[in-house]
Amino acid sequence: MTDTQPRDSDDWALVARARGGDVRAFETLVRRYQNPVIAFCYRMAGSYEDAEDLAQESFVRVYRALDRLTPRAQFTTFLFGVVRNLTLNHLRNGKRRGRDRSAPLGEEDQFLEDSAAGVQPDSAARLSETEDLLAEALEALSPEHKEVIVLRELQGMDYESIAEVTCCRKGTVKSRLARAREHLRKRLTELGVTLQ
Amino acid sequence: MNNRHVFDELPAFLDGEAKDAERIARHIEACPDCAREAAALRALSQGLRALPRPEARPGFRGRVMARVAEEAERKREPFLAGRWAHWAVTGVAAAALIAVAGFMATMDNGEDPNGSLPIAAPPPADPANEATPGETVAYEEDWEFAPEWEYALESGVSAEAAEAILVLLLEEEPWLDDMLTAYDTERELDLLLANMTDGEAGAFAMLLADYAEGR
Ligand SMILES: [Zn+2]
Repeated sequence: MTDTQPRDSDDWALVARARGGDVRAFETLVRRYQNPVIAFCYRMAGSYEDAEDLAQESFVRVYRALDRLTPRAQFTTFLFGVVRNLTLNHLRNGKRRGRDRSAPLGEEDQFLEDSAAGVQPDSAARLSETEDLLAEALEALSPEHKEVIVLRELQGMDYESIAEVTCCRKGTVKSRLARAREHLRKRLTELGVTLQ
Repeated sequence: MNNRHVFDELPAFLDGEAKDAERIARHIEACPDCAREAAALRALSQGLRALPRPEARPGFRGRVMARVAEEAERKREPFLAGRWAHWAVTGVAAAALIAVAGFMATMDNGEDPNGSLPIAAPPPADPANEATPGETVAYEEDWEFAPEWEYALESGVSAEAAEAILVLLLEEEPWLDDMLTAYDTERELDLLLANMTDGEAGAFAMLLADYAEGR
């Protein structure tokens, strides 16, 4: 793991202190994981504003769940499980929350439409053309392909952790990752991109 | 070249997850085709890893902690009164939660083609951390589980899965919104409860508790 380097015992110690009413212990967890969480949400949701909202809501949910948390496996897989659920629900329900409850939910097109509409070029860090096209290809993946790629390549998680976060089997993670990469490479070829 | 191509095994190999890494590595050294494929996959990974990652802007943590302070304040006050509090902490609620979890699990048919149920089944358990009935897992800290979560653990449903199911129900089920709108007076709630089994009432009370706490 890179960004989400497991510091399990330390994380759980902070959770225990936060449960006991030490708000600063929770703040340490927020400081530790805010950037990986925002990066995940940004790649999934496509918009920075949405990413920040989702990240904020996720941390609040985690805080609310502290009393019921059990120090099982890694704190990060729990955290990203919450982040991931909120993000997928956001992608699915975006239209419904917009007072249009009759809109079809969970359709692939809906996902693509939502995310394509939300994309905003990051003006602070101009992407190189290759990066731009790669980001575009990633953006176009289905959510279940995108999430395994983002968790693996951007968050540096191993298959076991990805399986925990996405609530599927390790074998499913493996096959989804392979298929997601195939899609990416196919799209990049169509866009005329050669990665060195 | 003395063995078959390893194209299909390359992604897991490069992720450090292949079972027989040595054999695959030897094959790549000897086979230009597989070496080329491995290089292409590596380049893709490097490209993805180099993508810009937005970071929290100044003020983000402050905003989170302001919300957390509100939550902390709320935690100090009892959020439920009377029968709701009773329902929420009894084993009835736990049993109902497990029933909900079990029901959700039976709906799982492995791979969901639409990905419509992100939490269809509890995540695979780590045997090292698995609680067996009547036995408490030894952790570094002495944890006090809320009764329903202790029950959930003993019943083989992880707290994360149980939590996720609640989150899912709250997020996914418009009926909950409608129900709360439709039954927002005490009298109507009583009528609703009268027509529910204990299990349903307990589960509903828990959902409502989370809802009241959260929104
Ligand atoms: Zn070969």
